[in-house]
Amino acid sequence: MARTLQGSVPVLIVAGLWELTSRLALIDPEHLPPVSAILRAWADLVFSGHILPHLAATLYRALAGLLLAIVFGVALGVWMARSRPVERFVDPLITLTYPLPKVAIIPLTMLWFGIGHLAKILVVFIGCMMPVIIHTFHGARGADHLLIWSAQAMGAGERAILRKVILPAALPAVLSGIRIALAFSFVIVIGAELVASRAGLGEAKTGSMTTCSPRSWLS
Amino acid sequence: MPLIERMAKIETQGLSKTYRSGGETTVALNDLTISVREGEFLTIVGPSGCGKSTLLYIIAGFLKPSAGRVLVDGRPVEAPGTDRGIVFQEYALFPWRTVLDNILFGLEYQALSRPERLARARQYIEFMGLEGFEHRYPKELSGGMKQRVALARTLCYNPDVLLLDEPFGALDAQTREIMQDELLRVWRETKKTVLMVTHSVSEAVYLSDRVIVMTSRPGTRKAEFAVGLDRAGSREQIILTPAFAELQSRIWMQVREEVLRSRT
Ligand SMILES: Nc1ncnc2c1ncn2[C@@H]1O[C@H](COP(=O)(O)OP(=O)(O)O)[C@@H](O)[C@H]1O
Ligand SMILES: [Mg+2]
Repeated sequence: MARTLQGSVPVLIVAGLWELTSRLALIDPEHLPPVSAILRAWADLVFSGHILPHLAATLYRALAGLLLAIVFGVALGVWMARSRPVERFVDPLITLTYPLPKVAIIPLTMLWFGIGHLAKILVVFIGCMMPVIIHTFHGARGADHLLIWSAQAMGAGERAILRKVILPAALPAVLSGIRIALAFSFVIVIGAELVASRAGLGEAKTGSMTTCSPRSWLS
Repeated sequence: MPLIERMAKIETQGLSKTYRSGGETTVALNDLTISVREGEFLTIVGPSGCGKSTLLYIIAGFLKPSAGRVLVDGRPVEAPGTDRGIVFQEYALFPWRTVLDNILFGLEYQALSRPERLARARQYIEFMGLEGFEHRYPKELSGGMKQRVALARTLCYNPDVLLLDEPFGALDAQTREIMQDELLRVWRETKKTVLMVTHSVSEAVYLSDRVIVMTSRPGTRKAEFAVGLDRAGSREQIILTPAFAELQSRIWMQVREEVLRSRT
């Protein structure tokens, strides 16, 4: 509780400065509306029920992509850690593509799958899989080889070793990969919806931009 | 005498091991030939870094030798197997499992029902004096307790052979003595073949039937001593006999030469 309060202090300070800047008209309030106005617009949107379908679409795309990324990312990360050939194949691909902005592939997935759910889920999936793979790989590679040997000596086969030694040893790393992927998933999906969409929070934003109303765009 | 009794339980023939990491090569073992009889307690003593752990890892089947081979019951070792149990110097307990679940790990690959596994695990918990600690995690245990868990975990799936890698190296002097006597008791009651490595000469003499001294790296056999002490008495009675002191100093002279050599 005390920590939550402490964490909210910087947020409150920034919000306060923002409010002042806008109220004192240091920046034209038409271009930077005060925080209070944005919050009011937010409340209006939510209570009008207007935003809910958009929110649902965004959540669905982000979480579906994230879930797929976790399943495939953990499997691939563990496989890489246990097999040199797989590592040598996958590692350069990841090093090459990880720093690229994920939104860059949105036009491609749109060409393949149109502007509906599937194209966005695919982008989220690709973008989120990277941190999951990398963290899982390092966690699994870091598993103490004496523990693996112990398990082998006791009669465990490769599958049992994966499930009972490698995965538990990698779990903390996997979780931190998932935490990063969770943040990525929303950034990517909203980015994708900004580019092109029929529904979703990003689309709601673009819609308000074309009608040129920063007030609703920021909210 | 039937053939089976004359056959060695463990035999290494011309064993060599060279590690390659990066551009460097380390010859850890060179042409090491030893044999351990069924039911024997054999200890290998040598300066640290002479390849003792490497030898056990090859016998356990974790590492492949660069040359030579290992026979267990006359058959070449290809892979790890439940006929050989190992206790690591570092214990290697699963940190995310409780004491009970660590001990159960080795029973999960035995043809036993769940109640049978639990009964067996409890039996060894009692055997190693771990009652009351079943639900603790390894990080909550002292070194001596971890050593007991590691021993219980290996004993409970009943391997013929025990490979012990400096099992008491990390323990304080008192715990060390207690655990040495525990090991002697286990060995007498289970009649297993034990191959232990250590750098402690007194430990080797106190516990073993036979002691082999290894040279410094690359490790090979340097000398061999039959112990043959009268073990009827207590620890103090055994350690304070002239025979014990004499043997200990003869072995120590051999080891010392190697320790000095490995420092130069
Ligand atoms: N995985 C490895 N890679 C390279 N060198 C190693 C490796 N493992 C052990 N060595 C080297 O081999 C030698 C023997 O090691 P080890 O068998 O652990 O000796 P001991 O158990 O007698 O102390 C040492 O010099 C050690 O540095
Ligand atoms: Mg060692």
